[in-house]
Amino acid sequence: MEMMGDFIYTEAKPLPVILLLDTSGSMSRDDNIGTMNRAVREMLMDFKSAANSEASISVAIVVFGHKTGIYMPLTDIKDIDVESISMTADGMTPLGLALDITKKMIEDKTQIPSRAYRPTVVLVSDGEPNDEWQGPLDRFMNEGRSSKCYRMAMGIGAGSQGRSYDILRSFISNGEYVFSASDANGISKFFQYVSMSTTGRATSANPNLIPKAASVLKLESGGAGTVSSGESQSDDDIPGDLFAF
Amino acid sequence: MVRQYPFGFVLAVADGIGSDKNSEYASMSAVSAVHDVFSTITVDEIEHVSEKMSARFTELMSEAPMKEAGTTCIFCAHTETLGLVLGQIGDGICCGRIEDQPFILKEKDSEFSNIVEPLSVAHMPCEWTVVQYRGVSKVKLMLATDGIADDIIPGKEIAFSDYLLSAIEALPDDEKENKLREIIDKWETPNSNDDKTIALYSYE
Repeated sequence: MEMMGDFIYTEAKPLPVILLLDTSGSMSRDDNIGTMNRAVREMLMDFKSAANSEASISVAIVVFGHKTGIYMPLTDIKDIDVESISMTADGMTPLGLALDITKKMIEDKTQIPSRAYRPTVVLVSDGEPNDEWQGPLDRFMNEGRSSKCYRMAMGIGAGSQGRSYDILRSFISNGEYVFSASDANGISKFFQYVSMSTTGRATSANPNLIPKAASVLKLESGGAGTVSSGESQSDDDIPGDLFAF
Repeated sequence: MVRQYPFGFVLAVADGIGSDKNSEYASMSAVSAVHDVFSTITVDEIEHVSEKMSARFTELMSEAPMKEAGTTCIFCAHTETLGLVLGQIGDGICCGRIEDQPFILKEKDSEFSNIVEPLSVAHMPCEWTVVQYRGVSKVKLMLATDGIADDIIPGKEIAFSDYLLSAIEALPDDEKENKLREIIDKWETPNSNDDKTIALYSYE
């Protein structure tokens, strides 16, 4: 005998979060890779706590370094073994390749069905890319489903200055800051921000409504952090103030 | 809104974008526009039905507190002179069988949930998908907003429409609506809180 479950989904609409993380050799400096691993694990634990939300959070991790690719495929948060997250730092910074891999994931409707809410893509890097990145970034920003994703970015140390800042500024969605972290505390705070923004969406009546960065950070009520105009090498008028934790 | 007129049947479902009273006004205006147009449109004018509905919607929205409000809309009109006319703007689904052949008016083309091009005065001209069939003798259709359509497993749309129609048709007339409400009230997709509107049409 046919039942409704034969025709309709029996799980909540997914809210995908894709972390695009720099695991190049320089991330071993000051054990930034260790800090990032801990911060990602804490963020995942926060996601697990957002139970019974409007949306079902799923997470993927794409790394770019000596090994560039899918570190963790898109996985429902309830199925993620948080303690297994332990990325290592080695190699160069092939951001272009990572963007292409991430875009392929986003365009695949078997991985992210059209019933899913707008994915959030989070880019973290501590330096300039050293592969062909302009074409992949342009395609990511302007073509297909990836152009409709919500995008956040953080530069670690030199990764939030000069040309690196310009790249991150090009990547982020309107109304977002380019986040800057110079130490472990800043890295942790950024992932706490990602967690608050995402769980805010997941528990909202409309998970496609992106909470404003300023309200998540509670800047009006004196939230910690410094907003400034980033040190850009470009004369282009692109939005994206720098927020330093 | 579902009505039987002397000239035939008109059904329309709509879902306002957003959750304020302006979006509710927009969805009511879209449904009213469909019924108003099909109450007067002639055979010669049918190829301009999209423009007529958009124009009537714009007139109704001229009194709205917020003219930028948008809505989706799906309709079915079945009359002796026009035949079967089906149309859609935005997401949701119109599917079923026409002369026993499986039918879906518009494949899901939205990139992600609730990212749609709505019917809205601010977005005119708006692009409707409209088809017309003459001389059909058997129709079984489901019209549903995205609160239902988004939760249907891809590839199962026609089967779901068949299932619903056969379940409802088997009931006495005075139990049909309550059964449909019960199905919606006990919807099995978790946390599926989007508004759900559904209309079924069977003709033979």
